[in-house]
Amino acid sequence: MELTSTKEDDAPAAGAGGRDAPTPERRPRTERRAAGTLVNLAMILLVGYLVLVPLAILLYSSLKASTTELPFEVPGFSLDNFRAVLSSSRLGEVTLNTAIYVVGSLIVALVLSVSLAYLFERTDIPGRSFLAPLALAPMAVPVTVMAIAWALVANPANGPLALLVRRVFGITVDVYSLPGMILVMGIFGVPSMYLMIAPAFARLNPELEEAAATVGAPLWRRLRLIVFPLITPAVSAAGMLLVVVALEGFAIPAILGLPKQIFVYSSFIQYSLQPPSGVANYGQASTYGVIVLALSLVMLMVYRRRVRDTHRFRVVVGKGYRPHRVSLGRWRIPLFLVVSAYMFVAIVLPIVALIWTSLSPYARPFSWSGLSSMTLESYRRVLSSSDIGEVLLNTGQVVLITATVTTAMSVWIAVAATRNRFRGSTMLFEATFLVFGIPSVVLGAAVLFLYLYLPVPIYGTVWIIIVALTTRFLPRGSRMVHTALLQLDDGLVEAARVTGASPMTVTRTILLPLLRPALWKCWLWVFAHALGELPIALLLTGADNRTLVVLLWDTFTSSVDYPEAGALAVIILAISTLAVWLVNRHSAEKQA
Amino acid sequence: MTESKGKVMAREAKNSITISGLRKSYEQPSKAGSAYAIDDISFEVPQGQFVTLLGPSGCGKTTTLRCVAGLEQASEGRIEMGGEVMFDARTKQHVRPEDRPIAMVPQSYGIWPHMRVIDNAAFPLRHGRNRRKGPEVRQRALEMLEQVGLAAMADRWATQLSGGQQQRLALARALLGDPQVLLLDEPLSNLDAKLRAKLRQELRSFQERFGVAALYVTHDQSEALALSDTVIVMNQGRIEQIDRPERLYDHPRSSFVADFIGSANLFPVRDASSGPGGGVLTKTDIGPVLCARTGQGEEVRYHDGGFVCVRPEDVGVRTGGTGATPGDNEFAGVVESAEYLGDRLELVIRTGDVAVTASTRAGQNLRPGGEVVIRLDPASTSYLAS
Repeated sequence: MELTSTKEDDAPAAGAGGRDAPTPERRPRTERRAAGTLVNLAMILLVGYLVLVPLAILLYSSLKASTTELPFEVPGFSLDNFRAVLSSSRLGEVTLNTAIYVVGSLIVALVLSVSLAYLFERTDIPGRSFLAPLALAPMAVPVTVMAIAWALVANPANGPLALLVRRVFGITVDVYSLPGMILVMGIFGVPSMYLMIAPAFARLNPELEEAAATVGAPLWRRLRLIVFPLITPAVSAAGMLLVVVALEGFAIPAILGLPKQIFVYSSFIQYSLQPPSGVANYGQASTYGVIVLALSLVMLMVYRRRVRDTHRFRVVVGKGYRPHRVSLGRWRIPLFLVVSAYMFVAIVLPIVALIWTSLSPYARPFSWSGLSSMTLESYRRVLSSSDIGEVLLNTGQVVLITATVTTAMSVWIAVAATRNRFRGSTMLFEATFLVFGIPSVVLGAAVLFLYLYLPVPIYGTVWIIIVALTTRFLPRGSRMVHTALLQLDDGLVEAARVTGASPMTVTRTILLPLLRPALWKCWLWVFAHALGELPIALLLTGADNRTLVVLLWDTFTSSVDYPEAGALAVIILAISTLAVWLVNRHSAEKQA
Repeated sequence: MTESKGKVMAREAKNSITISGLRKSYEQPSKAGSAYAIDDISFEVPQGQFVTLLGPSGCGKTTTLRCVAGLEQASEGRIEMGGEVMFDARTKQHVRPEDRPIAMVPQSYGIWPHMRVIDNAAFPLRHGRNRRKGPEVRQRALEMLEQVGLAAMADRWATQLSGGQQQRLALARALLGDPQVLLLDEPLSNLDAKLRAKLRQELRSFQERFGVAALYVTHDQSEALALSDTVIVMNQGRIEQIDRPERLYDHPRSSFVADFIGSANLFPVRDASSGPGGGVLTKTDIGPVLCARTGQGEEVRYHDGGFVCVRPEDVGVRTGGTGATPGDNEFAGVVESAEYLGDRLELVIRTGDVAVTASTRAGQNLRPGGEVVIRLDPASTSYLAS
């Protein structure tokens, strides 16, 4: 009271009661605030360093006229790289391939996911309760494993699916081709698109369609004029995201395209950095990196605009409408069979082929006689090889540390953004969105350049992989935590604040315990994805930091030992499925 | 003159909708046995009339409406519109909703958010049953929007309209479909109270102006009484009573109707017998009560059970005390609570073990704890068998 100014003392008594806050508290509080600001500052610098510096280095390298030397060993700046890339015939070829690949997979994924979402959400197709989760099952499969499984099931020499198609339809199927890549990418893209489109169908008030039906519009007009336009925002947002994913996707074009030298941007960047000749072309790689980055960012901006526009389509919702399903009538059973057949061929068969090959002494098609000669030999060979211990240790370090660090940083970014902790905290959150637009291969290359250049001795250790992976998964992680935070009632935190607890205490005692399911989910998600992420690990790999997924790549592409590759893939698949299953079990429990 | 009047009579005699024996079981029977969402529903909607399905939520009124619209199929029964069969369970006939002569205003209006106001309104003309093209489509839509007071907003996005405006747009769109029957599913339930009162008058005047029959679903009894020519009260999938609004209030046929429409004192009856003047003499917990009215309007079967029904405003109250001895149909009681509501006084009076609600003119000096005598006038007291 003594410290309050006389002016306040003279003021009328009204409202004065709230003013005499205990003054001794004031000093520690400002100190704590200063400490908090320091932490925030450090985090801003860290995020900026992780996200922006690699991109700057990438741009810098593309402006150095180097081919085989490291970029920073070349003095001066020039546009030689761009000139060389733009004048080479390779650019046209790679660009055309990429365009066909991306557009093709978009069409495949769009048709499949819109049809599945409509059938499962709006019609009375039988078996929805097990078919709908099955449609999402590929999410548990790392894309590298998926690509290898498809190579095993549909390769022209002994792939069971290829042999079946040849026998029944007389067509030779070769998965090592552009159509093969498109098909696999399209199927791989279905779950994530389905997840965005299905809620749009589910949210769509049936009254909107019924209103059209009762004024006399027939089914096709209703679909064309009412239903499809209303889900267009969700569909185009999902499509846009798929384009970004297809553009940056490395495993599918690398595993299915490289054998026939079919290059897209991402595989070509890796090829320039790690060619079979052994002499890397850094200039070419960084220039292609800049091109892909620009394309990707443009797509991402369009996507953001799209998502924002969806607000115009917000619909008046009645007091709890009942979701009435469209009756398929006599098409019910035929459609069920078609969907089941798709699920079997696209999801079950490749995994079965993977397991079959891993248990076979050599790559061979399915046969009853083969059952008797099943063997665990390839698993034994994998687990008894001399370097497997080191690989497992590396992998463990990479996935565990990446998952933990990413989750911790995500919490900080998300909390800062939702609670508006300091100026620019929302901007920081938005900045991590940039990373979505950085293709994995490009990020790997940028981090590679950075640590070849910086005198930080992490090149060739697991730490360089951890740094790159953390950067890569930060945006997804922080968005997961952010969503969970937004769903928390503000009152829960405010109730704690008004008791006089400091922000730190509130975060520790209220916020984090409430967020625990979301944090667990974020951790497992990063864990599973860090395990299967190929391009970063591949570009940053050296003699001492090989991980499982790199070993899988080497076994499949260099040693061409399919059973052993199959065994490795099954091991990765098992771990990742377990993690994804835990994520889903958690969210299911939360809903229950 | 007489001839034209006769024609009108003939037309009026024809029903827009005739429903007989409609029955629909739940999609997933929770218990074995006869669980019906709607059970043996039969009624008619005469041409140009406003008929309301009234009942608490889950009584089957919306299901009935959706069966009429063809959005759902009943398991038994028959629906005719303008003399044509729309649905017949026996012959497995089912006309699709888009081929029925109807229009519907759904609960949340079903305004398409990706279209402008004019495109919403013109949809039935462009894509509905009787498709047409050319400039007169827009012209007709604009005229209709003019009628509902939305012409100035024709080129706005539909989502820019307020709740009341969206409701009017839904109505305009429905009427442009040129329907024989207008189906309305709680169209006012998403609006605030003031707007609801205003729009329900508009709704009625539009219905009359266009001479279209209307089937209206609501759980709001005041809405039903204010709007309808005929009210159909439903409960647990069955029809309780079909009547004009004023008869529903004065002559409820069952305790459910009496309780649902307005408020009512219901005294369980232990024994009923023939009383003087054609009335019914009942034994209840407050004593013997003579009822001049009977609910069924037909011959009363005397049996145990049933209810005596008195509206609170029909309960006479005078101050009692030592001198006052209750006469016939009079009972001594004590005021338990008194609420002053401006124009009237709402009393709860305990007589024996029974609480009786009475509403009297304000100004009487009645306080909680005071002794009173209540009088139930036989002329406004009904005996309900169920």
